[in-house]
Amino acid sequence: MPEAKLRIEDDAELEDLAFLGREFLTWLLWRVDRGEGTFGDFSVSFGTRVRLKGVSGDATDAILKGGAAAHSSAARAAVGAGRTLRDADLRIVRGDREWRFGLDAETLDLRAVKLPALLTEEDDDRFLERMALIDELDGMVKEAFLEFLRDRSRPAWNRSVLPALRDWLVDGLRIDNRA
Amino acid sequence: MGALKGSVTVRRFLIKGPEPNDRNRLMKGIRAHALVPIDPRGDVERSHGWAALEDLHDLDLSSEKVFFGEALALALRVDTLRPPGAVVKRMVEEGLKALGRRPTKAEKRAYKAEVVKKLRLQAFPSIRGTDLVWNLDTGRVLFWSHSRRLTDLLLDLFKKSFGLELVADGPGQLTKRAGLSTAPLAPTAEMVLGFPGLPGRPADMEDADA
Repeated sequence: MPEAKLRIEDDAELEDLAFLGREFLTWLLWRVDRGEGTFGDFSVSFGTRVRLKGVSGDATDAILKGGAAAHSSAARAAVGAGRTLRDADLRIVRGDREWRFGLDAETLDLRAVKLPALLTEEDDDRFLERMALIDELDGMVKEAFLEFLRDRSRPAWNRSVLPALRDWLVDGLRIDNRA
Repeated sequence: MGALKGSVTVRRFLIKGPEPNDRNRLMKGIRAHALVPIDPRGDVERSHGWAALEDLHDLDLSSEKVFFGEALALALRVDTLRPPGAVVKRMVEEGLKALGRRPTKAEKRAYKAEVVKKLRLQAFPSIRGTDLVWNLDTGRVLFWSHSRRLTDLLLDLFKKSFGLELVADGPGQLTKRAGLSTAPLAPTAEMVLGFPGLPGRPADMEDADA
């Protein structure tokens, strides 16, 4: 069944919510690292590259590469110091299908997406199948983002999520929290 | 790499305003803005317009080449015809030497224009295509580039062709569609200034916390 058509509100302020994308990707790392990377029937994991940057007065990007770059103490140290994830290599698995891609936090643009293997043979069918797989990936990214938004828009964001995020950073950095 | 094969690098857009359902009208807009190849005898350096997704050289666009099920698929083709700067410079220098005196600025300018005109007849335009797929069912548009320059060309050409504006489908649009008020949402201080008590947070912020 075709999805309902989307309507756009003419609202220039919406263009300025890039910070939510940055916070989303940072929140997603926290979720995945805690073993909570499953959203409905798909799961998200981080790949081999992540880029972090601060908002102001931070002229340099921190690009971490390697097997578990996003889960390294260097990544947590950067988040602890006020840097957010700007883009990251991600992997989404739904059933026996896998998507690998880069996600730009501020725009939620997709980069270098590797789609699951196509099942159809005919050129036109293959095109439509590719489009359906891109749409499916887009839908999953949005689903995860909406779950973040639900967390983010509640008072619990400040009361429990941020303290939990801080605890996670402290654990990762092996800092004595009682000090 | 594009809509038909290879890895996928896309920017996602939504249509702003009511969408036209009349495919004939869409085709009219596409044909009116199909790429016009650069005439090497003229002085246009760059041209852009629509081309067939499956063959960038196919500018005779018809419904069969554009509609795939509920998708409208095209390539935004950009042609550039500009002789290499180093070759132009060398030929201008050599030509002006033959004058046997120091050339005036006007002479330099005129001779350069003549050289460029001559070289354009020998040069081949560079041809680049960027795929675009518009799902007419959902109103979503995928564009196979993150380049700001190409995105600006797309926004302009899309508006001229279909009378419609495209809006990036990013965090702002998603938040609005989720029905959440954006007014109380401001950046989380910890994700700008750092978390209290952790290394890297500016000392004055620690003082403020205390």
